Amino acid sequence: MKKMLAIFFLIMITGVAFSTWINEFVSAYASQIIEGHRVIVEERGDTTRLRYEDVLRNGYNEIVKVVAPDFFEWAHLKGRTYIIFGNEMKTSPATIVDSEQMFIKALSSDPSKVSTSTYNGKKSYRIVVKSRNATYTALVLSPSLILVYLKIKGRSSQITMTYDKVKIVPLDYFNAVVSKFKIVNKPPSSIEVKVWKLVYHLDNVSVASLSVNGISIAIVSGEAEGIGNIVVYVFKSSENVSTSNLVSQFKSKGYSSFAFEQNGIRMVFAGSIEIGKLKEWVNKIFKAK
Amino acid sequence: MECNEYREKFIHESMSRQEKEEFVEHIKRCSGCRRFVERYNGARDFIKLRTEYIPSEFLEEKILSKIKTKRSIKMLYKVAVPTAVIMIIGLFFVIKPLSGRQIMYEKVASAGIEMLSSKRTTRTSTNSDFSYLVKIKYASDQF
Repeated sequence: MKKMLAIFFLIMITGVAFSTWINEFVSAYASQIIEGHRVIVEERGDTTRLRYEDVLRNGYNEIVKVVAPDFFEWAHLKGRTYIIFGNEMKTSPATIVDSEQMFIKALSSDPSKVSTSTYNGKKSYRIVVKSRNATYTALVLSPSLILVYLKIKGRSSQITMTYDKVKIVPLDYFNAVVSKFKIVNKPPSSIEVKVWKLVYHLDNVSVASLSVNGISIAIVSGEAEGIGNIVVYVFKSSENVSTSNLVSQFKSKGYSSFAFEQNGIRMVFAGSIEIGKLKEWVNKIFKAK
Repeated sequence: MECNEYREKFIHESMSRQEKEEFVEHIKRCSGCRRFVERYNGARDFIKLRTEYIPSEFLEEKILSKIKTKRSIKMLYKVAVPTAVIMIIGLFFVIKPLSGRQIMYEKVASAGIEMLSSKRTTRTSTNSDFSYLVKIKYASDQF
């Protein structure tokens, strides 16, 4: 009986201790200023994507430079996502999700398990969080409490993030880097929002720009779920473009096509699928009445 | 008498009997006066006929309608032909830009048609003012 009680108390004490440790880690994460290089592997079905990123992070504020496969810079500052163009930070039409911040969010709300471990021979903690949609496994160095490894296993995909270089940097350094940028808090344009919506909902997506007789047209192409390959021409309603002319061009080649207008933006959709299904997909994406 | 004197007296019917006999003899020799007499007699007969003959209403209408038709044709040449020429020139200027626009749409659509017909296996490279949107998608951790 005494033995059982002792085990019970030990479990209780350990649980309380780890719970306190988690709070300590979350606070540490929120105040850390680090610079590092990480590798992110996204696995979804047969597709594997690899990203190399340089990260400069101050708590939840961060500047991320994607160095490969395609160079791209973005930032999270004061809860807002920015896209970096040269020395300018422009408001992003969409929030960029960072798996680290997803993990911290899950850690604060979902049940977790902490155990001691090693990472490249260094003492570390292993944290496992089980949320409704995914299981997070993280490795945090001891005693610095720096996150060095994270695996998120979802129902049909997996993300693995590994820091191969990471170090603490002073606040002045972070502030100096941020101050070099001019922050443009301008809301994204209607055309940007529409193109983003298409990009988000299409797989293997690509965007091309066409400028004919001073008219700018964005051409988005990709695979829509249950629809197949589609092409969408996006342009401002004010542009002198005849949608019926474009639609008939596609129809003459045997494709289904129709035009759609919303918030001053015109879109011409074309695909091999029957017109009813194509319209259904568009209505679903743009919630058209 | 000279030819002209004979002719004048002949028209005015002012010849004496002797002069008439002499003129008959003269006509036999003078082909000019002979032709003049023939023509004069023909013209006189026609005038006589014109004053004695009253045409039917049908013939009058027919003649008037022919005159109107001729006038209409003349008007057609005066108004319709220049109008048609102006219209043809105008159409040339309208059709030319229209066919230009048609070519533009063909060109614009051909890019999309090419994308639709190509079988994509992997993400294609993006070249656009909006290419960063694709980068946002792939920089964002999705699961």
